[in-house]
Amino acid sequence: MIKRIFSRLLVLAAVLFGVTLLTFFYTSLSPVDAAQALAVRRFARPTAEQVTQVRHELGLDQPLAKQYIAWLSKAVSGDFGNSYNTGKPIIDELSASMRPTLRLAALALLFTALLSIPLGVWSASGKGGFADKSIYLFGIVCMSVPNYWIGFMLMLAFAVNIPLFSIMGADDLKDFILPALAVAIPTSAANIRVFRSSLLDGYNSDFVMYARARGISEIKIAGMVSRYAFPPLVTLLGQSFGFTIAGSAMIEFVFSIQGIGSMLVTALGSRDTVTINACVLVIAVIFVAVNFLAEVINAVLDPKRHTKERAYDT
Amino acid sequence: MIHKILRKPQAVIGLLMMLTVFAVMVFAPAFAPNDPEKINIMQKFAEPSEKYPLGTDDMGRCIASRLIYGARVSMSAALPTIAAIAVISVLLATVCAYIGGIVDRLFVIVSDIFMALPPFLVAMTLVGLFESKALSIVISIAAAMWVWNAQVVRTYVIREKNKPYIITCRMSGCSQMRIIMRHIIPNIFPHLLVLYSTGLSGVIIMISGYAFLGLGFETGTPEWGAMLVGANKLVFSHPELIVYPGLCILFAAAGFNLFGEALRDICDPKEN
Amino acid sequence: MKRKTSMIMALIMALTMFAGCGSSSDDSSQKTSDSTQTAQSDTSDEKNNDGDKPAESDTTADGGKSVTIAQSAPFSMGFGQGVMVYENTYYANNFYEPLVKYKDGEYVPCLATEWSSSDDGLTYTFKLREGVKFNDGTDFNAQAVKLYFDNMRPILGASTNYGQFDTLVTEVTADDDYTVSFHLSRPYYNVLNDLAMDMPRGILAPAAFNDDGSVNEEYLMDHTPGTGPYMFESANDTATEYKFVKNPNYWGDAPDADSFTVKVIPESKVTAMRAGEVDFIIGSETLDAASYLELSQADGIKGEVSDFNFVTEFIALNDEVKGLDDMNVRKAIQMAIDKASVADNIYSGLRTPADSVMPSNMPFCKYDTKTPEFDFDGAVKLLEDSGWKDSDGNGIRDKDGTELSYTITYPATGVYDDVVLYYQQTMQELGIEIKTEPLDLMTFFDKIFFQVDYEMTAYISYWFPYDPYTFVANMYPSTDYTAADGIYSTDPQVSKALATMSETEAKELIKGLYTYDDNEKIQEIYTKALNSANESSVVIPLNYRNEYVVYNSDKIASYTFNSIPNHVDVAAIKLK
Repeated sequence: MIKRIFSRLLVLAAVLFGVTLLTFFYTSLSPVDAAQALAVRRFARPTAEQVTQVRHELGLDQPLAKQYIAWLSKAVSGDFGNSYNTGKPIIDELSASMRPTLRLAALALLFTALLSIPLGVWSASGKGGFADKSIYLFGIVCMSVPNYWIGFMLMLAFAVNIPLFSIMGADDLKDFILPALAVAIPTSAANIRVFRSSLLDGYNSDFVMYARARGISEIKIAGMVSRYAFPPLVTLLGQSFGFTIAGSAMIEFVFSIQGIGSMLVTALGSRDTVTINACVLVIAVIFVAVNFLAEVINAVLDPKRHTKERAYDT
Repeated sequence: MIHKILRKPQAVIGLLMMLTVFAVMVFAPAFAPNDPEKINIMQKFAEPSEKYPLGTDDMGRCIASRLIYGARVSMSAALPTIAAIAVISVLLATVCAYIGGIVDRLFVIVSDIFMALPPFLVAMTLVGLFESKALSIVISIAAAMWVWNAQVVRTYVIREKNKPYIITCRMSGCSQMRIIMRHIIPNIFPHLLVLYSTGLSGVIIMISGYAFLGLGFETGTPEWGAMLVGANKLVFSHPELIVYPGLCILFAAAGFNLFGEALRDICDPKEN
Repeated sequence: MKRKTSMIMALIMALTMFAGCGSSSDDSSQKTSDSTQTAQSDTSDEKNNDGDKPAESDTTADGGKSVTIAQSAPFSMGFGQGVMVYENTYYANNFYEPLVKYKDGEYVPCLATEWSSSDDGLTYTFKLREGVKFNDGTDFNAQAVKLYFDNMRPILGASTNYGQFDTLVTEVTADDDYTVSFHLSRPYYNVLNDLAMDMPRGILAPAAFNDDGSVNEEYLMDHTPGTGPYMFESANDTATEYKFVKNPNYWGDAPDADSFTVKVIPESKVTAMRAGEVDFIIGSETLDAASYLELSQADGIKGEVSDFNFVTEFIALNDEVKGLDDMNVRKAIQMAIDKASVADNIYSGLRTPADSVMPSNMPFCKYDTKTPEFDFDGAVKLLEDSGWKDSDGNGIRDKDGTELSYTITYPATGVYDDVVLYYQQTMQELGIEIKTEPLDLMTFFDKIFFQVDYEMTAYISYWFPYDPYTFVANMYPSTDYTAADGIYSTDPQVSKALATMSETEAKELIKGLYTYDDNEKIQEIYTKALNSANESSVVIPLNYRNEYVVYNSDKIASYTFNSIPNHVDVAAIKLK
């Protein structure tokens, strides 16, 4: 088990390495000359020499490979350099903007779990019945809309009148209720389906039949089935956490949250390549870490399941 | 197969919805009452009338026409994208899974790397890269999403590959190519259909998301996501500008999802 | 047994995961500025520095009245001067004051009480107001003024975008404790105008600078060491809320609001105001026209529009491009645009149609020639008569192999989209094909200002008080900043404006702004320049912006626009 975890970690490190390499490559394709842009900020009317000076300072006159290594070595210690856009240390901006997004994603995760698990169980147990069918239909609808549109609808419905939900700001937890809900609804829809089918799978499988034959109590059987059914759900929840963080830009836009999504979009808009690289790295790390955590949980829940195959039963 | 589809109400409804979207897309000029891009600032926010069935937006353009043409814009970006994804993922996954061994391991590791990059990120960084905006979107979404689909296809291929009848084929001397083309692909085809129809709805939503952020389409293009952008500020005085495009996205995506899910139920009977 | 324990373990793990995420304490702690605390007297102990959310109610903890203002972006570069962030410009007037102020067409005392200039126009002497203190307790005197201007000169003197003042000052002398003189290298007609700019000539205390004279940027991230009616108090961690309080040492009349909070709300300002989270929003760059209209019609909210035309929105043509080098084409383009309709319909009357590149209510802006009037049929006729016909039936006019098909490049900030679309359609009816190219601001600057790679642009002028001076000075036909005489234009779009003059003529004309300080001569230059620009139709002014404000009318009785209308003049807010 330890050996497996270790080898997994090694693979993950390789993955992160690959991610940063790719992003670095992507952003180096940007058409705007960062050195020139920065020189303008500093000198208003830079001469060619001043631009060259800035370029040298930023290390942009080095070959790409060298630049990458320099960036990576500094990044590991948390020094992402200064943003081309604001000139301030990226690490400060990152920590400031990670907080709201993390809270949003965490709350969304909570809502998703709260929605998916009971509804999944309900529709599985009442299979084919009215509840099952209506949850199915509702699920399809919720899966088919962008989460920011749901955000708009929620805003329209609740915003001005009900003080319980605030529509902007990112200070109190209550500010995140509506956006988290907007994110949770579409995600839950897919999850419910998965959980339901895993539960049904479990109940229909051989070991349950055998357990029943042996006279094991229903409660214990429920426990067994849950442990069997949870892993795909856990994987999905982990992934959805990562997706929320990565795709937070649109929801943040609607609810005026200054999170990492908006930071990334701004950086993309202003060709702030260093910020882009830093944001992507952080998001990828979180993504990978959460997925890893999900795998660990799954391994604990049911060691016999083959994680290598990564069977996508969704 | 067709019989099974026709007997399931969800599948039929989904199919009808899909066909509606396709029809609107193809026959947009026939359906739309006005030119969707014609600006008439003196007519802005007009009430629904005979000339403007749903009224006009903030630049005096006919909302109904924009929604109708929006189908065309969204679909003409979404279809090539899903096609590209399908081709790439099926090709790669089938070959790698079938050959197995080192090639397959490499494939898994490479796709692990791509999977660690959330699709949104990849798409956003690539989107500004190409001259033609529409091409940017297709390429960036395809680049972001192919991995996820490829993984699934790979699973199906492996499952299929290990089935007795394939082993029999191999033993009786069928060439690899023949096995892949005549047996494996046709047999996983229903699963692929499920995958790509639900995938298509995801792509539609993704595209509208990028348009919402202002990436990828010409200013003023009647695209459902893009229409939501300007409406953001008018959310209280003219909420219909937000509701209508959203409903269209809902209709299109739901149609594909409904059909895909119904198909899945048919293909994987143990789930029911 | 084993399974049961693992199940329980899994459950516990799951629960802890959720619990940890769910309970985030309200940690919106605030950074406070310490050095300013000492200077303040009684009110300091009652300030809430203990991590509470800033009060949204009318009264702060110490019983004062507070106003909440919405802004689009944070003060990301701190509160220095000469910083290229819009927000600094809007708010500078609350913290920093200049020597003189511009009010109703003349210059009135502010931190200076009287002034005079020498006969040769090379020395300007100011008598300073006595008994004034900066809000950190230090004295306002001639030494402080000299220090400020000396230290800011390297930054401000790098270009003439803030007027020529800092490029011409050779020495600043503190003649006695309350008298300052500025010595210029040559006469300059706009000294008072430049000195009246809150940004960047509002004066900061010596504490804003390091010993070596460089700006102490770190200090200025959370301090506003000035003489103005307000000062920075605190900001929250995410830099989305800033609190400013009354300057207890202020020498002038106390303002109505004891404090104000600035909330950073990039989008959804309308929702915020409707929900009562914001009391006051001002500025056409902060609030777009549609939102203004929506808000001003809501209950409990009042909207007001200033009648001062303070910035020009224009479309600039590159007359070095084939087709656009023909004045008939340019004139026809301008004639085809119904500016009044744009102002009335796209902006619902919040703009004034323009008949000149610079509006007549700005100093020196007298002109005899107006821009060509709206006459669509006349525009068509002009093109036909000058040989631009559609010879191949594709809807685009052409002549001698040149087709009238161009790309318009503009910042994708959302401000220009509607106008550009309207323009595109109008041109299509005229027979000119327009493709749109929205770019993010950085790329736009790069492409237009550095590479000068454009056919048409949509943009704005520099707004008052940098207009009209910067605009007209930039009509100098060369952007070569290595020129021997040091005169050049920083704006390629505007440098092409004087197309009816030869390059030599134009150079001579604009050079005069760098030579004379005789008001009559200057007026002549402005008039000639404006006349030519209006006729040339290279810079096509569409309309002038009039600033607007919306405020909570249950709380705020009235607001008087600052003479620089987009400044957020909190002292001018009268509460009920």
